[in-house]
Amino acid sequence: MSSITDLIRKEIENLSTDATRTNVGTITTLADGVAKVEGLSKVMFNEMVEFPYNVLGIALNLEEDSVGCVLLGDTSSLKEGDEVRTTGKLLSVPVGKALLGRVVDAVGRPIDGKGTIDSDLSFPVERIAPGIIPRKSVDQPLQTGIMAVDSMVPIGRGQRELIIGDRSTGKTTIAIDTIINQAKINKQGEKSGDPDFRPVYCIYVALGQKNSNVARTIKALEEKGAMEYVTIVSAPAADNPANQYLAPYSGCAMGEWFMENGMDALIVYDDLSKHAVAYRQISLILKRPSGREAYPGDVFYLHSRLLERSARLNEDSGNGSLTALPIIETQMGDVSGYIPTNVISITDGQIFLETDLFNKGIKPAVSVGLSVSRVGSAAQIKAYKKVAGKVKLELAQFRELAAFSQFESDLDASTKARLDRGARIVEMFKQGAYNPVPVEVQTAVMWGMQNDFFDSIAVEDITRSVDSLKEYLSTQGKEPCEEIYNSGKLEESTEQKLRSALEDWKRTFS
Amino acid sequence: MSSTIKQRRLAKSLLQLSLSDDGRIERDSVKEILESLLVSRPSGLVTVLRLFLHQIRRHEYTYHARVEYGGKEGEKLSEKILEKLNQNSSKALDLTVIDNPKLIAGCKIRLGDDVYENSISDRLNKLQKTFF
Repeated sequence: MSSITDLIRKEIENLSTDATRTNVGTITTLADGVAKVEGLSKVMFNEMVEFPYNVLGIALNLEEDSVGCVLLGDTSSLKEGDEVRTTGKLLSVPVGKALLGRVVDAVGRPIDGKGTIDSDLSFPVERIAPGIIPRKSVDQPLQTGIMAVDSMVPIGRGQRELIIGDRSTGKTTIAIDTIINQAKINKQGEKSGDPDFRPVYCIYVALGQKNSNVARTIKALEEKGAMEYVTIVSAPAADNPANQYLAPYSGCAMGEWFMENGMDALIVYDDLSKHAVAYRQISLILKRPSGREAYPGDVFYLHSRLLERSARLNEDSGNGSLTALPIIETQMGDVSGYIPTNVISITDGQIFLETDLFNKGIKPAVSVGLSVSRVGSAAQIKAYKKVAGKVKLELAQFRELAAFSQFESDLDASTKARLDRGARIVEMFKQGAYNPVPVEVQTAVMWGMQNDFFDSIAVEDITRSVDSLKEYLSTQGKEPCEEIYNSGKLEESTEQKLRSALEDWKRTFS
Repeated sequence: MSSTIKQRRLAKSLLQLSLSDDGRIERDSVKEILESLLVSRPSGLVTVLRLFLHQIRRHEYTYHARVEYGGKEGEKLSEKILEKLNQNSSKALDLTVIDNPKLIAGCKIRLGDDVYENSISDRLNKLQKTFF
């Protein structure tokens, strides 16, 4: 009881007794989470404004006679004629490690019922992206744990890699797998006590999704023990468009804190198509001129200013990084849509997921021809680079030959060999959801494929054999994998150990 | 009733014509403008008149300060407040003083879109925000 009294006394003592000066206006129209306000002559662009009943808004449209504000809360009590006040502050969200393991809304308020967030730090939601001087080229890998991705479209820390595909092709699964893999690597690294180990913290921005989907994602992360390294920013489909518009920027501010404090972070925007739709809705209500597909003219800038904030900083700027995995949903596999082409041109590559491959049971359904990473092998460890160098070419050749071979009954030996190898690689890349594979095991499996260990196994048994090999390498055949993990290289001695381990495994595999 | 950009611009220019050299609304000028409008009858006259009235009211707020006070000493402060406001303004200001018991003590001045407040009710509101 006395502590409450002390707290009240302390707050009263600290309370400012100075006169306050505010700039006010009145609501003239109110619709769909957007208010037109008359007055507010001194309001700043993107300034937080205060409506009655503790509802906050952001001044987005500064016009000659009025100010267009998006509202961030329950607007049911507001009415025409209500007074609106400026706050003199730009919209900020809490940042820091206190947010890890928490689920927050678009303005950083906890929505997981785990109490308040113990963080004194806050970052403005809208910030200028790092310039040229503090940046460094991407050269450190960010392992997704997905063989098809890590081998053919490697992602580096600080890269922006788009995940694109139709609905239900496994886009979110790739992102969640990556987050789970980071948590696994973080735990392994922390356990090893390596002082140079750099954990990757993750932020997952759920945009315009069903609450049940968000709950399923949280459950998957909790079950895999990944939640302690993750912050979830949720702006579900039922949320107002203003929150859906803000959520990616809020998540980005949270990620920037890690980057600017010399740490590594990964942010997933799931998905930016819905973000563009929310922004279109706001813009139309604000009566901004509309362009192609009724999107406003600055829809490119909407995403470019967000994704440019992901970067790899140099040593002088703290050596931190923020990797972005934006997700875009295409319609009928059309990558030439307005928003997909915008985001493709902004990012450093894309992982394209094909519906046909998905329906054939090839999961993850990564399209070899359309997927690319502009960072390339610079974001792979040396050992992996050695074994995965040719795989993308082999697979691309296989897809092309497979299409032609349908018309040809008598194939030459070389074509048959290529088709055979390709079919085995396709089977090798098949991987279940939420089951990332460590990079050293991936290297060993790929090495086995390159050195013909799978050639005598029937194609339909390849997936089973790869699973069996993965298990063997995690238990009995650990040694060569540990060497790869520690050195990052594939020395001749390691290759010999790997050969004998794979021979041992093959004897046991039936 | 919605208005067009042209109507809003016309209302604004009519306001400029209604101002005297010291930036205050001149009744005679307004009367003349209204008479000429009734003769020329531009399209959307009713809307233009409504917008013109709105502009006049808003402009009046820029030199008409409204002082609300709470407590016994409030009324005595009005002259001092007017003097201070006039020092900081390029226009000669008017003052309306209103007793507002909701403020408990202190005063609240509104001039144009700016509100200056130092009252007990404002401090209590601030205190409430620190707790919730």
